[in-house]
Amino acid sequence: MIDFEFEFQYSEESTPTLRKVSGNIPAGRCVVLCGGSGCGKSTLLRCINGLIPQFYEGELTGFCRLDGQDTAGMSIGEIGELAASVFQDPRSQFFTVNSSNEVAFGLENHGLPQEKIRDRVDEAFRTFHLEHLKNRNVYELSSGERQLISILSAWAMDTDIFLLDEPTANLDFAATQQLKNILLELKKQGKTLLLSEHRLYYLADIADEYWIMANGEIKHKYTAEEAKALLPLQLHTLCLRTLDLEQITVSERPPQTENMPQALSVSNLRYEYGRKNRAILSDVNFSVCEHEIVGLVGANGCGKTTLGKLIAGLYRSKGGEISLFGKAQKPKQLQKQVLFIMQEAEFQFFTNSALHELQYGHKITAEFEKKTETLLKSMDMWECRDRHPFSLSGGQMQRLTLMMAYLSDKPIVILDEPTAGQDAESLKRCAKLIREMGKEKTVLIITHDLELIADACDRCIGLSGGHADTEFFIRAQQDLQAVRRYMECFHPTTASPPRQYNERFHPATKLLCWLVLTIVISTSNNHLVYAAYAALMLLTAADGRLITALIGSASFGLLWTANALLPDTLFSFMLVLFPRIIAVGISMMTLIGRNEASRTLTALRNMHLPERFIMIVAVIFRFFPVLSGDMKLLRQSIRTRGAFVTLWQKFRTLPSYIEILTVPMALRVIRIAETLSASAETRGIDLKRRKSNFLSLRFSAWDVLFIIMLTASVVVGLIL
Amino acid sequence: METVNRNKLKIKDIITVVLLALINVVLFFASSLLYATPITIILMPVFFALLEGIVYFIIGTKVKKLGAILIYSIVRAILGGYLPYIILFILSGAITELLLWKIGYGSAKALTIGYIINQVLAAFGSTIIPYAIAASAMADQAVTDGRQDTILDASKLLQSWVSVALAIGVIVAALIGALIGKRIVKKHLTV
Repeated sequence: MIDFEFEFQYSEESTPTLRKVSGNIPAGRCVVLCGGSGCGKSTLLRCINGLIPQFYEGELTGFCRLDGQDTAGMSIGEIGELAASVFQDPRSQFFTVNSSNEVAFGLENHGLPQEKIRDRVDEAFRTFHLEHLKNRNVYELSSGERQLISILSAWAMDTDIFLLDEPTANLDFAATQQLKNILLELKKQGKTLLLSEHRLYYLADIADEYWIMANGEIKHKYTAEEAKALLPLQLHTLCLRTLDLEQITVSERPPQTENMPQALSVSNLRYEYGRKNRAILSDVNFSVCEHEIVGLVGANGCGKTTLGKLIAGLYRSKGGEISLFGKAQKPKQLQKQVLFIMQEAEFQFFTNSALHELQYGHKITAEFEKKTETLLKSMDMWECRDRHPFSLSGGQMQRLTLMMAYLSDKPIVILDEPTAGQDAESLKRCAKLIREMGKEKTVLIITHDLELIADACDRCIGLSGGHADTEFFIRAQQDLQAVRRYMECFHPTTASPPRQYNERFHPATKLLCWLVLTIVISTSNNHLVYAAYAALMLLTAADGRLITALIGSASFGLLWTANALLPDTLFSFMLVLFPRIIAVGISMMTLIGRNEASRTLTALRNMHLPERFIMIVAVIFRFFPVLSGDMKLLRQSIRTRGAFVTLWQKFRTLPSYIEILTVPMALRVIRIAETLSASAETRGIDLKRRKSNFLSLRFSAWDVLFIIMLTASVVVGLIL
Repeated sequence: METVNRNKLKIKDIITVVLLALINVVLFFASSLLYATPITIILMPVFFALLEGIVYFIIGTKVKKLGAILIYSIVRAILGGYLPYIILFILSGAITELLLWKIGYGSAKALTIGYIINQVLAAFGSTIIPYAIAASAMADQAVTDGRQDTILDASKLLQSWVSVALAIGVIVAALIGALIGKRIVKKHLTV
């Protein structure tokens, strides 16, 4: 049961975000908080889970009782033992790199015995029929799958109350359906659910009440029956999205564009991922007419974003052709004519205000200023024109990127999920702007949002099995329902079970190897370095990384040979320096790669190192690959916006280039840090208890053998 | 219930600092091609001194608390993976912490001096010492092979005026890097 009454004002705000909100949710009931962006939904959830005022500072008055216990004076972690929280961005709320470890994370923080943690983790995957997600690398999971893992992590905490903040904001149609099934299961188990949501259709069979918030107050409380009876106009007035997808109607649109010339044509396009040559797009063919607005639909991971980036010239295809206005184009030419608006809005902001962002790269004339003013007003963003783009809400950021696309000089625009997490009012505004955009440009929208398709698209192309296999013209209600049926057929990809690695070495052995190498490479004794290098290659090979060991050995062999053939040249220098650099890289890989990060952290905890230190190492392990990927996205964003095209331009405006390369990343990680630490704190990371381990580690004969060999190598190196 | 405001490093602060430090690590790894030749290695410290000031100043301004710069230095150092570099980088962090404690957390002056010390010590750890070791190791090899003149010359060269010139170059670049960092903080974090 949840019983509360709050008033709250954030430290940095001049007006209260919550004005006397109170409510009572009996055990086993599900209440949905809805209303426009910024109405106070998330703030209310933060007051209940204790993040306010301990994490987000401000002036809070009132009380909160969870299952009859007053939460005043409790830490966030202690409140987390009564109410589990799920956040909206599954990309940044994970603390570990392995799905099972993530589910176990809160239980480790609570110091539960290892056997109990294991049973609970197994039970979580079994109860929700998600065994295929067990022991998976989180980077291999889709957004939907990650959100399911975050719900399992919450469930594992064994609380009776669940607080979910826009859990479908980043999910596709199929993943939303899966989430619905899980919520139904939770309700069956008698859990009390409090959700904040914009997307409401999936909650029809789950919600008992809908509480409508506006201006920091709960304005209306509707039972499920009362909410279902609301007319479309009433829903619109209350800023609510549809409760029933059957009710969506196709908006009126201008005459069809069948006789228009072709703007974009894709023929026999092919693309493969990675070293294993996994074909993501095998033979894609379709065309789009000038001024047409086309929706691209398909299951998560079917290659929609990849296709968009190929058309925008951000990826290089492995075959086939992309033509614009009847002429085949190369990637560089595509970049000049196609703008790709990413789902990750933060990567696309280079300046320090919303207005400057719209002006970036444009000649500022009186006419342009007038145009931007009208645009900002029409998108309800005029009041925040001077705000830093990173201080805007997620929905406002997306609207800003949409306005940037509208003002762009490029004739073709690709929008990737432009309306994820938008409320009803904003969705209408976005759809209207896209239709306006269609008068001057050709628009391709990657989307799962049926309401957006209804309001904006002329046609939809379905992508499945690497092909563009279906086409829907959106003219009437039945066309929309056909798209809906097509989307309902998507099944979350059940990837093949992950390869199980036989871990031969204890992580402590690898840590010892890393430590020895770190010391050895700092000496000038070449023989010692080479001996330690050889030991590392043997460890790497014995650990199952045969290719890495072969590459490492071959690199050394080549340098040795080159130096022997051409002494006193650059190769002499490279022979001394390169093995040292390669050794550091490979030894780090043995500590972090595959599932080793979790095992290494367990080893560090077994060594009784301070928890703060282990937390720092955990964040490094989890986010180093993420930030490397983010850097790629940032470079793509710079390319698609047409900034710093040549090397000379980069050099000539070096400070600006450095700024754009660093600042969006820095501001993004500040946001990630907020979500990650909030998620970790609700799962007890800061509890002053002795933490336990989910994994158990044992030394084997391999460890003994390697330590003997490493010692022998060092001795031989010293003697030589 | 009441307003909570503590000046101790919180979980959020630590995670913020670690993630920001990782940006400089990613930039460092992304530029590792500069390690390919002896000449570009010498230019590396100058390049990084220009580049890393933004993140350094963002940390110093965003997390005005005891230990933030030291945590940055530890993360940045350990991922460098080279012992002299690790020791000198952490030492620079400790010196900056002292400066910040004395002058004031968030002080641009303390951060600028700290950043210059950081970059100079990092240059010693990442370039001057390994270059000297490499030169010495090559010289050992050359002695074994019966040829030594050119390499020993190069080694002497580095240990003499080139090191001084490099240190001056790094100081100038770090000063420019600090100015860029200060400007960026003013532009993006104080609006």
